Amino acid sequence: MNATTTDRPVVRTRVGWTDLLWLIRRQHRWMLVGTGTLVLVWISALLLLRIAAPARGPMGTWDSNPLVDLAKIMGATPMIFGLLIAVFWAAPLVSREYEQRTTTMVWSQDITSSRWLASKIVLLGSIAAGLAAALGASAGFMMRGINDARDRPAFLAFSEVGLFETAPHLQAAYAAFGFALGLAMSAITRRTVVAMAVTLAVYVGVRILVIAGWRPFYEDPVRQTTPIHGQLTNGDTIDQNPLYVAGGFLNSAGEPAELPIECLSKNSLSDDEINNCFADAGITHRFNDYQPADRLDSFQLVETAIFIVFTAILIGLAWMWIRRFGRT
Amino acid sequence: MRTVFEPSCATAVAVRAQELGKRYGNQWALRDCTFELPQGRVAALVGANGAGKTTLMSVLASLLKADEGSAHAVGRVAFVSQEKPVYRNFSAADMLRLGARLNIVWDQTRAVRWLERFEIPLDRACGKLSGGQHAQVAFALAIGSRPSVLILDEPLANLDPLARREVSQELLSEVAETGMTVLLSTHVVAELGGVADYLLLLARGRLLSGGDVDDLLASHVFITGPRSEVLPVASSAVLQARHHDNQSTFLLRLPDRQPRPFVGRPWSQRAVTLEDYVLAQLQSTRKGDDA
Repeated sequence: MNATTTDRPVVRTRVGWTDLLWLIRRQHRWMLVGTGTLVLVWISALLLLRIAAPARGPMGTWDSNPLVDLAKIMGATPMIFGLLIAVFWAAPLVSREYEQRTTTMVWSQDITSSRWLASKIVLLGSIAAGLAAALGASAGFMMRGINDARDRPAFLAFSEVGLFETAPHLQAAYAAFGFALGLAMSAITRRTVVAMAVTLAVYVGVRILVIAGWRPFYEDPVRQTTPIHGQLTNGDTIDQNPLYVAGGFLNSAGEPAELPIECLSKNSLSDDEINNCFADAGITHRFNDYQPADRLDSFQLVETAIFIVFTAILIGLAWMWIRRFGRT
Repeated sequence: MRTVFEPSCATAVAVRAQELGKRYGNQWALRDCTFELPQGRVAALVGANGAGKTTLMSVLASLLKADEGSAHAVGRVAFVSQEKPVYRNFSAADMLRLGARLNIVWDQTRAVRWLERFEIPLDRACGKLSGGQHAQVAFALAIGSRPSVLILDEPLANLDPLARREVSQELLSEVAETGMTVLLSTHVVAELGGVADYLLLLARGRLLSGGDVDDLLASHVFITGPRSEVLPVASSAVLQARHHDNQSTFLLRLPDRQPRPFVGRPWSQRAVTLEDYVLAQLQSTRKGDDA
């Protein structure tokens, strides 16, 4: 070939972050545009419901308002957004590159696998966390708006579709955890479908474990006791929308006691007779353990911290795995 | 690409491997591999399937970590793996943009010239290109990054015969223009003639032989004659002996810098081609293992 090269090659000292941003934008543009559009539409719908639900229907305590019912469904989105990030964003991220062998191509440029991975984590991860935070904030805004317009709140602090999971920082932590989990599974399995399935199972498992097993115990629960002969007042706790932890019976020493089966097997007994039967069995009080609703903020912070720790561990795992075992 | 800038030393070695070893589990894919590849050469890495070619190349490209020994390449290394991977939803132009973004040296003119030479449409998604066109995009990306050492794993594998010859020629002219060193693996030995001027022969994870192709060929000779178990010349190392119905052929390794021995009729001698040499070497390992 006798063509002469007139343009001299471009020489730089290093590959910059703008270059890595370019790659991510070019490579994941449809994923980013698609997710961004969905989130925007969803946020608009949540904001619309905040305005429309009080305006369009009755907002009394027991009134049925279809828009409030819809708001309850829409308000559940923060619960699954992190899962969607985990399964559809992160789980295919590295495995697809392994499957198409493009890791060898991209890591053969002037960029290390660590730097490539760091760009994915920092840029895509922060976008995912940002979108999740915006969704959570919007859902919380909608819930509080509807609550304010009603006699009694439609969205309780600790209920499944409630205020707890709408905290933007907590949503960001769920999304970051989902991202890190998907990434780690992607790096370890190197198979997109397997990574997606494992990510789905682990994400759901961890969230359920934390909700059911850990969340009620971030602080020692408050114990409300009622003498066995006294009037059981339940209004106190329920009005405050607490997180119910446990309930049962106490003996005279103040220790939890077994329920005396024989007292319940006698159907014909009146309430007083049942209480007397309890007293005869040594039971003096009923108790309810609960977390008061004013612990919402601190509990959200604790859970955020837990998921940030999970995220850090998983990112470390993905990092180590790709550096040690995953180069080709 | 691990970028190690080193002043070119007097010996002008482009790639140096010392007692290189890599194992997967308990299985050594590469063992005791020591060689020096001079700068500006086109080296062929030849070996049977599973000989460790891809492993060696991946280690040299810093995509795999060696378990023992060391590998070192002078300057920047570009590696094109066997699958010629490119992003399927990127156009060829996008792939060149990727090259420009992710490399500290980028020669757009050279990369575009390669694609134009092989008539690759710049604007079509790589996923819609043929396998051969795919490969050309991957080559253009590697060429554009202006590496000191270009490592190609089975570069000719999914190309048609004409494209094979053209790619080989283009590679040679790139070497001549830029002074880069090329290491390419192949098991299509017949197509190495006129392309490779350096040979690295791998068998079962070990380096069987290596060196300048002209030197290797000059130091070997075929001697053919009537069927005989005995050599007509003395004290030469027999690399291969083949006996047919009434003919025997011996491949001899000549002692250092010695001319070919004289053989009288009915014996005759002929020069060894690269293919002859490689096949004889590979065959000898197989026989050795059977024994």
